[in-house]
Amino acid sequence: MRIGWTLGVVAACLASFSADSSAQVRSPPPDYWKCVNRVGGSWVFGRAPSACDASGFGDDKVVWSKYGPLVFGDARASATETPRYLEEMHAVIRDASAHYLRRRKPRASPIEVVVFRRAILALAHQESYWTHYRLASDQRLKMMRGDSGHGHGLMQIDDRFHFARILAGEAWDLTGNLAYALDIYYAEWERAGRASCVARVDDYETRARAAYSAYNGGPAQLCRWTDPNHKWARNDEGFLQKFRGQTWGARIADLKKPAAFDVACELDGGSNCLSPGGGAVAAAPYRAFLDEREVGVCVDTASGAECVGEARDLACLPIAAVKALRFDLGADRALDGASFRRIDRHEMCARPALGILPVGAWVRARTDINLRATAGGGRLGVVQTGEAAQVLDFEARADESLTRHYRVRTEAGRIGWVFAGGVETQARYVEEAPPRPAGLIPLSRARIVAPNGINVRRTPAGEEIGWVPNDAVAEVVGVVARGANNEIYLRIAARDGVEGFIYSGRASPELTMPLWVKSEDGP
Amino acid sequence: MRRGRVIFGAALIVISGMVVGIFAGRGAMPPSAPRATGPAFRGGGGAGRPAKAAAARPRRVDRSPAADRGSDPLRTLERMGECWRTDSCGASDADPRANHFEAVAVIKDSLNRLRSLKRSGVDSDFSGVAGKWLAFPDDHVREAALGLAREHKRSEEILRALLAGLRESLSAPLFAAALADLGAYQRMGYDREIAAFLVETLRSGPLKAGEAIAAGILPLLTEGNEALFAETAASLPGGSRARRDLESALEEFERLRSGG
Repeated sequence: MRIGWTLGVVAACLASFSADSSAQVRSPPPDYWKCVNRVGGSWVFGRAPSACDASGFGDDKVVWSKYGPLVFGDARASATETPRYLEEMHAVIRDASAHYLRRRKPRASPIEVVVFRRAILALAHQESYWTHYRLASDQRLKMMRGDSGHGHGLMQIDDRFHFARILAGEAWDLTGNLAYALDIYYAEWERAGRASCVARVDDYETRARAAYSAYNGGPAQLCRWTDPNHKWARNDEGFLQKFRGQTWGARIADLKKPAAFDVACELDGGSNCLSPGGGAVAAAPYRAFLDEREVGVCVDTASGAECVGEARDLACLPIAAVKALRFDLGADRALDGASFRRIDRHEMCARPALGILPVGAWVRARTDINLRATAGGGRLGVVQTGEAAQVLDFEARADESLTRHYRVRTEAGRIGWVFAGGVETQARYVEEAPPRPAGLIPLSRARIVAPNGINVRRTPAGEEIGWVPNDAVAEVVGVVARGANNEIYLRIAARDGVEGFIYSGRASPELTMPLWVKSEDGP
Repeated sequence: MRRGRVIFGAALIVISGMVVGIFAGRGAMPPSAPRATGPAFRGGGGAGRPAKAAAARPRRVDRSPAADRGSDPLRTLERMGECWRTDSCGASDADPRANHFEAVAVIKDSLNRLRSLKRSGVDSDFSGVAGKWLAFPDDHVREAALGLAREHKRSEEILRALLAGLRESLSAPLFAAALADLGAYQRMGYDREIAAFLVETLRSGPLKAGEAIAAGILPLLTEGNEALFAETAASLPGGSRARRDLESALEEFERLRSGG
């Protein structure tokens, strides 16, 4: 079967169903936009002014579970809290800068890696005194906001210029904030290597200074640092002082302390990253290499290792101690040849005791719920009470109440994540609703739009037993999702004597269902 | 902070005159239509600039950026390109990025006005303008320039400018949006150049840009480039989002080919 014909169709279909693809900016936000319960601070590490409630941009629970040790506690004695915090933050910036440079420039010399890393540490010092999250005296979790509130967090991402990404929570998330700044600083670092004001490409200190000038003043300001009379020369001097002084070093007991989370994994968007978590450990999960391509997360049970593809599904593992698990994935372990059972997330998380709604189900909001870019991340809008949406994905947390988020597509076509309470409280947030015609995943009737038709299989991804042609209408008697990408299989009623499952696209990372089937579900 | 903050960080293309030289003034225009001309961008410290050029006293323009919004967009673009380069757009001194902010806002506005003009049926060729501003080191401007480029017939020159602009871009949303354009050029026969660019970005480009490509690459997969992208996926860090999504797209491509 040839594929060439599909390209235009694929492009058109995916374009219509992709979300958040615009980099547009709106009118600049006002000073201290979305700044609730603002507090001051002081010009010391971890406490630079000002700070506003972090919850305006993401869920506090995510911060505590992912970045707990990276929160500066205002109420703690600064003599101990400052060095503790510095050590934690140093480890994160150190690992992030080194990993980033290795990814972008695998052949960077060791000296370039060292100087680049020092430049990023100095940049974070210059921008925010390494300040990002704080637990302030009002006992609320804050995120640092500088320059009249326009600068967000550690690297001071400016909301007047990066509005869409700030709205999506990228600056709120510590790793996202760093990653954004690394992209920008690295681009200037590379340009600096070709700049006329940098004599040699291996004069790394000069490159660091030039890259800072451009980071601070804009791409046209790469050589600003050469002008001692420039109106912003003091910024360049400040950066140089910090770059050369490295004053943080004297206050950190262990410069080689491992970071509190797997920084490289987070930067790469990994699904099984180490995380500090919390709570008692009843059965420590570990990251296991199942085969050449696959990494899973496993726990040992009486019948051997049980593994899932992603750490986000640990909470669904059918073991009695599940509520006491924490996302502290112990040491890596190779499971080649060893006995283990791999469980599909859709099978495992469908256990009735969890009450997690399956992919394809329709829900109705029972209260106004924030629609977020990621589970617990940046807020995109609100799903109004009574609004219906189809479930495209789910995530459950290994906390006491097994709280969960659903990725949904509303009838109006908005896509995002909604919080839906825990085992006992889900019904306060959402309830199951009858299918609507606007769904991407058909629940009763599906028209085949794949131009060459779709194979019919005995089981999802199983033996091929027939075929349905393009434009045929199939009666859907069930929906099964499989795998980490939520691959959708429709169980169709007998047609010309053939009954079975047809593949109908995947719900992650891009929605491809429109390439395969069109819902003709009636009201 | 302390006056420091992230400014739009895409790097400057320092290939002197690379786009405008090709495009300036192309196409027949009626006397009343704006004429597409202007210098190439040479940001601070770019190749060929005097070492202390950035230290030169800026020459102030006599009109504020706000006033520029109502004037001939092509002249405005020319003026803003110059004042951006010399740090003299008349912006406030309260912020080190004020000059850049002001310039970008007006440049975007002017490009959008040209796009509207083109849409309204003005028979002018602004493709050279679009190509030129795709090289400007700011992704908001690049996005507006891409919008203007889309109003014109596709050409090799525009493709070159788009690829050059994306090579310096950091914006994942811009990459995601541009994939549709790259797909169209691919169908015109530029498969090899586009595949090479995508592979380069996946392997060593900005991390989020690589992720945006991996997530949206399905429409660009062909029997001819499938093996190349499979090899690229295998070279990416195990467990990374880019690798997962690229492998997933390859699997979906295979399913599309085989009927699911």
